[in-house]
Amino acid sequence: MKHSRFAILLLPLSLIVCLFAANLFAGSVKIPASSVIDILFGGETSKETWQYIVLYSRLPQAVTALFAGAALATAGLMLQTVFANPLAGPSILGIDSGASLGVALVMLMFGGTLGVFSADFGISGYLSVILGAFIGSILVLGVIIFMSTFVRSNIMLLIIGIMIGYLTSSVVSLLSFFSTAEGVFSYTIWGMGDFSGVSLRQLPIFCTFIAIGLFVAVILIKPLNALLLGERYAANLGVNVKRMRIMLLIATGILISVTTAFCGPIAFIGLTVPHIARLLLGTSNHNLLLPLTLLIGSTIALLCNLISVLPAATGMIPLNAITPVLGAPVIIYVIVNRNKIQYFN
Amino acid sequence: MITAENLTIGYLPNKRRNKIVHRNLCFSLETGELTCLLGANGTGKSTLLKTISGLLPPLAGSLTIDGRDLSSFTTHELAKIFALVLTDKTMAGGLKVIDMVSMGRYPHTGFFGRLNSGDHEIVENAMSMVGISDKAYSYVSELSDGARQKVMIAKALAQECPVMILDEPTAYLDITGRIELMNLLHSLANKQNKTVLISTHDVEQALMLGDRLWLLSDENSLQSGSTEDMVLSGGMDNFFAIGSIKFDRSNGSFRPQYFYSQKAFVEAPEDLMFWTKNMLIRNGYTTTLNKSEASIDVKIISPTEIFADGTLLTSFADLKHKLENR
Repeated sequence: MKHSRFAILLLPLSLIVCLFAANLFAGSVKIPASSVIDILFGGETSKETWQYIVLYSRLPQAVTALFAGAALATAGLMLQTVFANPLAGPSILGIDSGASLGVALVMLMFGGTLGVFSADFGISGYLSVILGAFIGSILVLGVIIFMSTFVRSNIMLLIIGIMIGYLTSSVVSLLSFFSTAEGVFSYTIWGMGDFSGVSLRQLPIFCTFIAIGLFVAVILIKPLNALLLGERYAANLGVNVKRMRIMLLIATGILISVTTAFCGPIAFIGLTVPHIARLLLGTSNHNLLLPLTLLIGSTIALLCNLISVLPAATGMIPLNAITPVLGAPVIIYVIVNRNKIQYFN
Repeated sequence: MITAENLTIGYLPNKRRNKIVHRNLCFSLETGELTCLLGANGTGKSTLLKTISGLLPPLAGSLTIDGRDLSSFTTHELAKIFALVLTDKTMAGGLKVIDMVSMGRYPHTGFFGRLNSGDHEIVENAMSMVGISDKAYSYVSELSDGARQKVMIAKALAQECPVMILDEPTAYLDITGRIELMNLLHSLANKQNKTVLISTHDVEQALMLGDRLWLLSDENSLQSGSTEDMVLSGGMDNFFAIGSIKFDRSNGSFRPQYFYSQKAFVEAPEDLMFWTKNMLIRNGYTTTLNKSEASIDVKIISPTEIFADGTLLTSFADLKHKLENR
């Protein structure tokens, strides 16, 4: 029986393998499959540009999607459990708008001097973008968690999150107004979201941060289950709720801010994937739900990345043009059927 | 045993503004007894329960478990002493009943909460004790309020704590459910020597199955004693009394106070006396032992053989008719 329960993880795992391969084989430049395989296994290839495209563009992009999807989905699940609200998510609670504000401050105010997103970026430029995103998202997350101690209504809390989103975007508008055209352009491009922002050289940093965040999430599986019963029941079961909240704040903060800093504010993955996982699994028990959410997050991100590079000639479609098409119907389905869905009741 | 001396309970919203609910409470919670905490709404029953179980810090005074101060226990240690059933809404509709009850094993399991065969057995036992074994694989969201309450009680049982504290556990249950639950709690206390403390509005059940009563009110703070001592010493008489509601010491029930205009002399077998008086009181008669001062003489032979002032009536409906038309 135990084996069959874990078997459900095999489905997204095999999809991830297929989609990861598809991401390497497909792209705006047509490269024969045999050449791609040669390049990947270190063989010689007829064109040096092909080698560059596969190793320096497609591979890091696929790995980024793999990690970013897992990060956003896991962060979304943790938020939904902590706020006892299945409609919580990084974008709805204003957390990635906090990250956006941090990034905007860095890009629009110091954009020219640090050379962020220019061809020969400095590592310090990227680190300051990450730091901006991290501080911005942690601040918003802190405000929301603080608010949640006295705003008991979940709907009100979501509206506060949306208000925070408006506030940050008003600051961003102001910053854009006084910024250079280049700064605004790179910020706008960043805001559309894509997985190509992480170069092969930055990839280890990116993956390390995400891995740390995911590791913390995995070690929080047991207390996350206890939190399903509410804070006081969790405390009675021996959970140190305050410490747990801080750990969650840090883990979700890292996952969302690092992903947002590198890939832009990607909508819907964090909100939608936990729902897909719960509906597939039929339980809110995090023992399986968290790993499944993580894997489906990667699957969806790889799928979105594949779709974004499909129109070969015209370049890439922004991710935020794709994720809502996949995500919004799921959320609408969930809301319409909420009386029949167990975890809503 | 849990003992409190000069305990002040309340909330600590911030340093300048304490909200004190009660001062100088002294009590001890006895092992092997079912203690029922009674009190009107807003008298601080939940606050007291939360303070005893360590969810709220005491504002002053001492609260000790077997001589050790409660505040010196870690959250993890407390989880093995107190099992709580609260009135909180949970977000656990997506959990199966068996998963929910298994959460009770949380303080006893390892890092990922994996249950061993002993844990599984405890969970099965807990479910069968409250009678929800047949729903083990249902979702919590599919259960009625009463069944959810039973699930939470099974969770508390699975926690295997010496002390169980339940905040209004019978609130959502129907009458048979209440009696079953109170009986279960009573036997847990008496047979397994657990300390069980519940708050309840169900006075009838508390008087019937509670070993000890705690009466909490704004005027008299906390009064405690064995159930029968409390009732017979008059502790209950004015407890819920607001104007016209009075406690009837002879049968432990509350009644609206009637204006008795007339007296009745009653003769009835013991098993019919209660219901005969019930009808008379409801219709404005008080009973008397002195035949001469009575305005009516009622003699009950059987429910279908009733003599009122010597006239044979065949039902209580006829008696009522007779009382009304005098």
